[in-house]
Amino acid sequence: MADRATDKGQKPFLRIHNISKHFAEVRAVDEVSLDIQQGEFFCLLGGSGSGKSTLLRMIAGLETATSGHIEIEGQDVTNVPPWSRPVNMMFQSYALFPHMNVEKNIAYGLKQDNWPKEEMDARVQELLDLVQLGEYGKRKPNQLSGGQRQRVALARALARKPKVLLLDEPLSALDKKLREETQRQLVAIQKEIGTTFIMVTHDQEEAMSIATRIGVMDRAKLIQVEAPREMYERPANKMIAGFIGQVNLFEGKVSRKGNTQIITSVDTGGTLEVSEKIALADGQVIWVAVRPERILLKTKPKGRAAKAINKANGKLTDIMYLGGITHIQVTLDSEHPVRITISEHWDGDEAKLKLGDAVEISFEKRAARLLVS
Amino acid sequence: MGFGSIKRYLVIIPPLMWLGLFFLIPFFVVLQVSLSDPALTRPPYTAIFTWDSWFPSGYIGDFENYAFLWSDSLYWRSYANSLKIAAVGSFICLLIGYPIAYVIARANSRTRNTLLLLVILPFWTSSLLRVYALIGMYSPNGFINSSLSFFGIIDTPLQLMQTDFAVYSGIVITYLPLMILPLYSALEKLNDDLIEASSDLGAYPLATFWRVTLPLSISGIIAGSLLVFIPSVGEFVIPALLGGPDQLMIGKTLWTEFFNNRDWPVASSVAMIMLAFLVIPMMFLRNTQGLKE
Amino acid sequence: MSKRHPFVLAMAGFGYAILYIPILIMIIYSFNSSKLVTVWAGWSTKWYGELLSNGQLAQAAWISLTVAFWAATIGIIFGTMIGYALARFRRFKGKLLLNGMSTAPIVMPEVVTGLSLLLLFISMESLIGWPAGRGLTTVIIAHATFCMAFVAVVVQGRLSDFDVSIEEAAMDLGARQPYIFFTITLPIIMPAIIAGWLLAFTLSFDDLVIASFVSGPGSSTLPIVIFSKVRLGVTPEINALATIIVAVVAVGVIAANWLALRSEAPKQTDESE
Repeated sequence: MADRATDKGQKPFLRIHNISKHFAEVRAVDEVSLDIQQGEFFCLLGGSGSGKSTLLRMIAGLETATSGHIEIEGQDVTNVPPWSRPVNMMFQSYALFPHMNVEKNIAYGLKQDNWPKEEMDARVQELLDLVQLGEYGKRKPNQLSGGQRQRVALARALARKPKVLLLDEPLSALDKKLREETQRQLVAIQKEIGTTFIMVTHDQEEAMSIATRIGVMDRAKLIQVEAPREMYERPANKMIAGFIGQVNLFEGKVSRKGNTQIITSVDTGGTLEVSEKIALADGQVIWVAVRPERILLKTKPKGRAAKAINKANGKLTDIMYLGGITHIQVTLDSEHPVRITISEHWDGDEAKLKLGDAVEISFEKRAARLLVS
Repeated sequence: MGFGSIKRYLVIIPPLMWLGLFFLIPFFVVLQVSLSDPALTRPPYTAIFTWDSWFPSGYIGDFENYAFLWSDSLYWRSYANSLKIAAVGSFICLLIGYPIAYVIARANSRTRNTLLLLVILPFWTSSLLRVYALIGMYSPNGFINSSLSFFGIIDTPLQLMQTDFAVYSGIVITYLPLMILPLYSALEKLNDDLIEASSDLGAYPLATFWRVTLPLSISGIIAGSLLVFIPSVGEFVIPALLGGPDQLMIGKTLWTEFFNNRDWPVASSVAMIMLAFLVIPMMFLRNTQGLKE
Repeated sequence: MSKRHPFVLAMAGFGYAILYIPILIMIIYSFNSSKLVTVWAGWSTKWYGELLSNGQLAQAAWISLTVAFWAATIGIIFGTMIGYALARFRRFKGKLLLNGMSTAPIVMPEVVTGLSLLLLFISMESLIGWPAGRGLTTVIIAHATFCMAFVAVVVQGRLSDFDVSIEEAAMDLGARQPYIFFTITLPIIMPAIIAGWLLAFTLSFDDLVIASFVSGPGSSTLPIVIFSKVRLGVTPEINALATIIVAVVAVGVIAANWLALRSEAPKQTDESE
């Protein structure tokens, strides 16, 4: 999927070029460029105030860009008003018209395009079936549950067959269980109709489970665009490493010993090695990121290795048993905390772990990722 | 709520008695006088209401006064004209008030407060003085005419006073705030997302206005129109100061009947019929809860 | 997008102009030194001087202030009782009647209210000898009646906004009515009561029609005197008087608004996303 999406040969379906939005003194979106291919389910991920919603609203035409431009299928739409753009949006609040029933809400966009009555009715019925609300056409929005309203909003936004569907935190109002179910439905619907979806969310798990590609925004900038797995494996910086899943960061300093560069770490009290080859300057401060499930735990350490590589001693300070997996916190001798996730497949006996036990942690070179910022 | 029933009635009964005595009973007195004989009730008026000349002495009222109202076109023309002026005046207030309410509701919170204050401010100043200020604008030697003749645009003053135009201006300057406030509160509740959703679904701004904004502010339109319409029907100051002898309005007719002709029974019948006209819009207003302001 | 459509903005500006231009012109002409309103003869404050020496207007103003003070005061006492009963007592005999009678005076045509009260006062006088003639008392009673209706609406609105559980907490802590009312409820609704008093005072001070019916010789209120003068046309003295009234009201309303804003200022937050 990721390959299809990043295929260089294809002309981008939606091209966002150097776009910025300033509100008075505040830069909400700062020189963002992004290409999205047809049929993608793209997630814009970021915290509140990161500019992700503003970017989405610029694609919809609800905000005018301060500079830069947006193209859809090669056509510049930067200054096209929202009512003339081939995109539709599903609002976080759903924005269902309270004075119209479900059918009228769904037909609203079709009426604007002057669809003939029969075709309009057929299209409305088709959409009601798509979102499994066949029986609810005559209800008013206030007679529906939150999940049903969410589906009406989706049907309404899809009615005009938009080239791009924009979804602004569409699941944030639902409770956890319903949200997971709706995520699956959303992916199924997107596959079925093949429309390009761009969704804004602050929930990284949601982005990971839905998206074909994720774009992470922070402080008005687009930091990294990658497929979920690649983003998890190769985060571009500390912020993303911490934002997408959990991570342990070991700070290190580059120095030279004879002809070779080595990285010494106050956190582990030894040296760090990674398999990646990156040109580093002497004296540079870097970080080595390791996921909690990639850290190896050994009880009863046999003393202390003289030149410990990717290894440190500490003691157990927290154990949280969660059924299939167990979260463990180890405080290293340097006081640096390390989080470890162990599964049932761990070769030790987790039932014997006690708080205060002396342990040794280590990780393999290829499990570590070098970050320079 | 922790109030024993005796304590409760200590709260309820005093105002209930006050309103009963000074609001409810007076209508029965008016009804009674409207049924009494005009000849008996001419001034000096203190002597008229000796109790033995009322029901106890066997006297039964009649509908003579109402028949008189029916026979004299002055009265029904007054009623018709009042209803017309109140209806058209409410509509003009709606046309002028809607853009104001819309702009206030869509402004950011700081600007909104100032704009709202500017609407409420005139409401706190005497309506008599606001109507009076219009005389200064419209009279033959008033501001408009003297300015126009100063610039040589007109030779003879325009007839602005004593016209329908002047009366409508009076209604607007008196009652516009009452139209704007309920409109504003309806429009303020209107979520921006709905308007954006409509644009996003392909509706031009005007289509969005007709299909989303207007239907969702209908409660404010009804409440505002009734709040202007009801008092306008019985209005006295505006037709008295700005209207001419031809601008018949029922409030002024009642006033003339009472103070100038001193015909109290006829004035009472006029009042009863005016009430009959207004009962339905008043009930309607209560149901729209437009009084919340 | 269409939020700031120039046409809509222009229409709104036009509406504000309609409200304010006549008043502004009246204020400007109150400083005209000529007696003829049409001729501008230079700035002068002489009409303000004449106003001060006009005994009839001063007396009427005093009567109006007295009436407004008492009408508003009676209005808030009874109006608060009505508002409280309607908002807090669930069911009681006469609730519908009280509800109807407390809102009807607001929308009742003034000529009808005035006429009906006058006829009541006259028949009461002949029946029980009170009130003897028309005067301050009858005007105060008449004004207090519509004042309490306005106060009741304001108080009822405030009471239905605030959380009943605050009163229940007081009850839970062992307090009883009417102690709860005076220590908890009243302080919380005080701003509404003060606003109600000011509104009632203003409405009473402005009333012409009802006062015309129920006032007697020697109890002519300010609007009655103003009306009898302005019927004959524009006079510079009334311009000056109106300017003073407008200035007092404007200062009062702006000050009240400023105080209200300041007390809730920390709530303001800006969302930029």
